[in-house]
Amino acid sequence: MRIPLQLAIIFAICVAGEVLHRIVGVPLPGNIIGMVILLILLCTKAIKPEHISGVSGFFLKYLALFFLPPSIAIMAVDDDVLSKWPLLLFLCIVLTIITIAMGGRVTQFLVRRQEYRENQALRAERIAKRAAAKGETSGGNP
Amino acid sequence: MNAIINSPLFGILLTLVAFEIGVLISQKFKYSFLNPLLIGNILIVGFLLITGISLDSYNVGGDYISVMLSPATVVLAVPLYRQIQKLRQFWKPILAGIFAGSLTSIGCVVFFSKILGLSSTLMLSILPKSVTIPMGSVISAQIGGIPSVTIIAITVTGITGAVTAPAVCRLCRIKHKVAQGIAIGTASHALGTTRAMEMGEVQGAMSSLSIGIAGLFTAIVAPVIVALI
Repeated sequence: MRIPLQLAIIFAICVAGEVLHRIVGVPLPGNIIGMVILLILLCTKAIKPEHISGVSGFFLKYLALFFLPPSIAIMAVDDDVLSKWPLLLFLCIVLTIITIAMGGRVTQFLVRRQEYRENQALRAERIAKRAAAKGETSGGNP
Repeated sequence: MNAIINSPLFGILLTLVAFEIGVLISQKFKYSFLNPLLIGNILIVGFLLITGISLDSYNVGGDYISVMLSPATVVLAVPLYRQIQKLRQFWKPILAGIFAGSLTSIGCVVFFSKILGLSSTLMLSILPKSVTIPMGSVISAQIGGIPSVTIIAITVTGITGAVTAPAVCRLCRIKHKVAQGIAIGTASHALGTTRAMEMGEVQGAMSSLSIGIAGLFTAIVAPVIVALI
């Protein structure tokens, strides 16, 4: 698909997200609603990833560039924020480690529990099948 | 000269040059903490301070690039869609794990901010620190934080995840590949995911799957928690 058309699709989704947020009053930021809309369009095959790959590839590859200008507003923060920077950075580092540990342990516990149950079900099925096969052979040859 | 500085072209050019220098430096030295975004930020802030050009003049052009944050967030649906098939087998543990990680991040920020006596503006600014930047910066603005502080906090969080993830997984005996990926993506978004991809294909896929889902969870949960406290 031509790039202007791809851009038109993506920006139409952005506008739809803003409309849902500002006019309909969905309590999520417009661009996040837009992401959900595109995800639904992709899952229902209304749009194929190839249709918008030119534009999506560009944005995803250079994603960090678009955050650079908003980050410069850091210049304008007041002294209260500036004096707290060491504390903020320390918090970010420590809390990231806690979050990895917590997310990982919970996921691992639940994944292993599911694996264990599936294995058990599989084993029970196999035993039942073997028992049934035995029953048939013994029944066929008196 | 003022006419040039106050034209959008100036801010756009400065952003592009600073970003490219940041990418060059980070590719040359390959340390995780030399992030292109952080280098670009320091270069631009330094340049504006030295020349005495105001933030408003820079933003005349900078705002043109900031507008692109919206479409950049929307296209995050494409990698999420590609990974979503991999959710099938373990979808319950995965969603529960991402939810637990996101809640831990938010809960810890609130808890430690109260203990350390941080102002509520600062607390709200670092609340979405584990979320990918395009989502985190708008969540921050929505709940009353300072988006520029959020962006720096998110970047530091991502770097921390990328640097420490393998050690944390070893220390906490997180051995399952799915769990490793989910933990890294939920805690440290796209920057952590680059490290998860080095750890293995499963970890990389699970990590990139977590980015969008964790962002969505946080966008829904954060305003509710803010209303409660």
